[in-house]
Amino acid sequence: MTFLQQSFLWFLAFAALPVIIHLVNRMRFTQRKWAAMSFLDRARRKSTKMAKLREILILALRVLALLALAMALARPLSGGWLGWAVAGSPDTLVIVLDRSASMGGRDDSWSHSKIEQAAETLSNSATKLGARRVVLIDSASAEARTLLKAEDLKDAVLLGETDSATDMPKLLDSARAQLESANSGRSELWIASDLQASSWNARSDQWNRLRTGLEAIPGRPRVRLLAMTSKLGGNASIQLLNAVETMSPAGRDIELDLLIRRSDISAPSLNCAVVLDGQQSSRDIKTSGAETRCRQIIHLKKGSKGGWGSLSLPSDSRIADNTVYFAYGEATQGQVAVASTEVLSGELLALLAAPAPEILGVKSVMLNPAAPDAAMLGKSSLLIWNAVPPPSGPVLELIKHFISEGGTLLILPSGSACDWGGLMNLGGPEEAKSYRISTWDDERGSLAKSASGKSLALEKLRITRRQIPVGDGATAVASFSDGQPFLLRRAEGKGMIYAMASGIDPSSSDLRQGTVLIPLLRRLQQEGGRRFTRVEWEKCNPDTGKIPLEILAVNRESVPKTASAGVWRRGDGYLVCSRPESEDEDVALDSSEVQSLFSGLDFTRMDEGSGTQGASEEAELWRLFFALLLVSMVVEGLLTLRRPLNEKAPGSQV
Amino acid sequence: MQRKEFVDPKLNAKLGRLTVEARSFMAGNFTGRHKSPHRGSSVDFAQYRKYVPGDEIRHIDWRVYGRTERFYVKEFEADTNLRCHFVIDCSASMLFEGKSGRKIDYARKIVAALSHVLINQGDGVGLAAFNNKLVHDIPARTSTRHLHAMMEILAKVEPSGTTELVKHLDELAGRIRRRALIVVISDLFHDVDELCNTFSHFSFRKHDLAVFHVVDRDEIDFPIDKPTRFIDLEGGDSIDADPETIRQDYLREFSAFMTDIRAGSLRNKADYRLAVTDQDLETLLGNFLLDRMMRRG
Repeated sequence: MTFLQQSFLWFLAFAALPVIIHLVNRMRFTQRKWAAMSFLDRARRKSTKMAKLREILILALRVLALLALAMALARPLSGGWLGWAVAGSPDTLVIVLDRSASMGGRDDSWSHSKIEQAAETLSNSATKLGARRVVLIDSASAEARTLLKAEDLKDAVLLGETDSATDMPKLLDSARAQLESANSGRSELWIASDLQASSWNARSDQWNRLRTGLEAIPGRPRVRLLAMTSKLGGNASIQLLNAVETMSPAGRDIELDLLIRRSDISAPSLNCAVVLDGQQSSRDIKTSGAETRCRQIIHLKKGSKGGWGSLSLPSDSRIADNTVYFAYGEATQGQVAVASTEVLSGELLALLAAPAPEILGVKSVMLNPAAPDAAMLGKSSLLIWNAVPPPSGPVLELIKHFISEGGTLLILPSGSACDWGGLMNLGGPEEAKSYRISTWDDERGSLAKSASGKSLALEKLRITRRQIPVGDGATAVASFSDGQPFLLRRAEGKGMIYAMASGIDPSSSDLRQGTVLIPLLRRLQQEGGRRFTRVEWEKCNPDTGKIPLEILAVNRESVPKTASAGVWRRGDGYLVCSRPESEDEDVALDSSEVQSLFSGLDFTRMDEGSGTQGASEEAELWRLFFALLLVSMVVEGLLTLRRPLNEKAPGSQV
Repeated sequence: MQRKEFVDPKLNAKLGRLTVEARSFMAGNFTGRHKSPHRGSSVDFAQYRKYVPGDEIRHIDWRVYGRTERFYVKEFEADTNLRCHFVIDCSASMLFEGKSGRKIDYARKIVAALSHVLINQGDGVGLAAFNNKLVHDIPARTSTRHLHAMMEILAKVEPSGTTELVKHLDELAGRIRRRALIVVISDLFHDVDELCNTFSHFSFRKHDLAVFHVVDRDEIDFPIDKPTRFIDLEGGDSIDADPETIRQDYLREFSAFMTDIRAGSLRNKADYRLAVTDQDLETLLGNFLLDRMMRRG
């Protein structure tokens, strides 16, 4: 229970007055000599039980009346957000508001988003509580703002949710700093969040520091969590996993690798709105089950030097996750450079990398491994290294520069162990025998399924010799049945390094047949080719907003730049910001996890919409206590009504 | 207490016009105004009876002999004087003092006034004062000097101790052999049944019993409203009580006690008189004497 006038709670001490007066009166008997003692004794024995009961009842009613008066004056609130525990108005109130994308969800009635509900509740409660200083820290800006009045909280969230994730430990650390600097007597920390596991990052070491910091603040601030964990209404979300520009006989395309999640799985397809360079069209996307992975090909205009577009699902309970944005640059996809000590292998690789230059617009060139042409490499998107020894000195530096600029390097084994100067290593040749590839990522990346949904036939590859690639921070894209990597990937700068365990030599594998190698090289080339398009892909992050940008299309203009998903022009290129995938995951921390995060602190939690009474439904109880006061006084009055002293007892004849 | 404080000449003068009449035959030593159970020489004819040897010949009614030739003796009623024993309770409970004074003082005034009337009409008065023991025992005499002596003793009576009313009344009933008027003056704080048995003892002995039940107005009305420590006058024990909580039960108990005492007294032919200390003594005693006179006719 919270009290708006907590100072009046001192009046509760006056409730002891009736008892004290009673005890004092009992000690202050008037003495009187009496003759008819036997009648007194009998009367006392007869009336003792009832009299004591009556006496106790009267005392209790007097105490109750004073308690009710003190409580009524203290103006208690019950239920709802404030009615959790005994507390008064804090001097400093710091509100941490999670404005991440997942907080944009609406309830079944679609009337209010979670963030609006939270703002309403917190604003009303803060107004009632009458905190002297209210500081708002929201995830959109991550900066602390002092509100002139608590109602301003509603205005602050009119801007809505962002498309970025929330780093809750970081926000709470900012709140801790605010509470520390406030150095006021009583302070509270209010948190409103949907407890999304990715935002809260419960395993972060920051939590220990945060707890210690909060405990060290004088007066130990009370922490209240408003958990917006109610289930959303019907929702479908769309994520852009990958976007690559391709050339086809029909012209230039952009291929969107999409992931669609939906709660209503009855509809066989979703009608989506497609915007390309300002022109809107629609298309049906076939869906099946709760998750659908699909590729959509958008035909680009011939001769276009770049542009942007979006693809949107029909409106639902969470609008923020309905749209994905993309951009494309000028049609300069670069070329594939092949550095090989064996001429035949090199030519074969060049052919496999650019099988139809006129149609696909990609050509291949041969490089001298000992002294590669820097200009030629600069125009390349993919470098295939099939040479011994591995590069060193200026050549290695040149290749490193190529990768850091966004190029892609594919390292093929050359028959002996080699060290790429920390970029990647290849082990020595292993025993010649049949090796089988058993696992690979066919959902995304270079070995993903084809547009028609067919997997690459990696399991059919015949591999007899291998050299295991090793690299710090590298991830296996495909692995042998014994767990050793077949294809290893490692990010370096803006580019990517791939190392394959087997080459195209017929004594090593049948990769030269091309069923796997051609699409793999094509995708690696596309990946490296992005550096020519001048399109940058980033996840929404409020911090990026400090860079001067020109808005082309955004989910909402009200939030800081790039905290919203959208497309911006940056210089002569594009910046595409998308919502983090984690924001679409409906995974919340459970109660015990939350409790453990705040263990040792004065922590209370309330779930919005979890009970019959919502968090915003605090009720002032002073009327109830005032009524209790009146009732107590009336009953006490009735019980203490005295009979006139001259009244005769029944049966008295005198 | 000084004698003059309870002997009121004005009251004596007013009551002097009245007489104390016995409700039954009295057995006295002297000729008086009260009927005796024996035959005597008054002018009131009583009966004829057969002559038996030893009767005086002068009492034979010769006219009857002339008609019947039998000897009959003519008998006349005898008048005698009355002996009144005042029995006064001088236990500590009689020290109770209300707004109108102590109960013992009121009792003294009753004794003084009635004694004066009785001595004036030639009857004898005696006094027995007791608490848990017999404090004073003065036999009945008819002289004025005896009255003065009795008043002196009465003035010296100082209540103390507990009451053993029943025991002493029983003793008294056994000790007084001749029929007499017994006037008990007490607050009667004793078991009602035992007390009524004692009254029946007096009735059995053919005594004329009058009971003056002395109570204070405060004992009847219980006009106390503050928490009080009641200290027993007879024992020193105390009871702490809030009068508000016990008033109803106390009044009920006390009222029942008075009703029972009254009924028990009447049942045992005692002349019960409630003597509330704030009551006008002239009215109380006037009514007492007039009732007796009217009963005699």
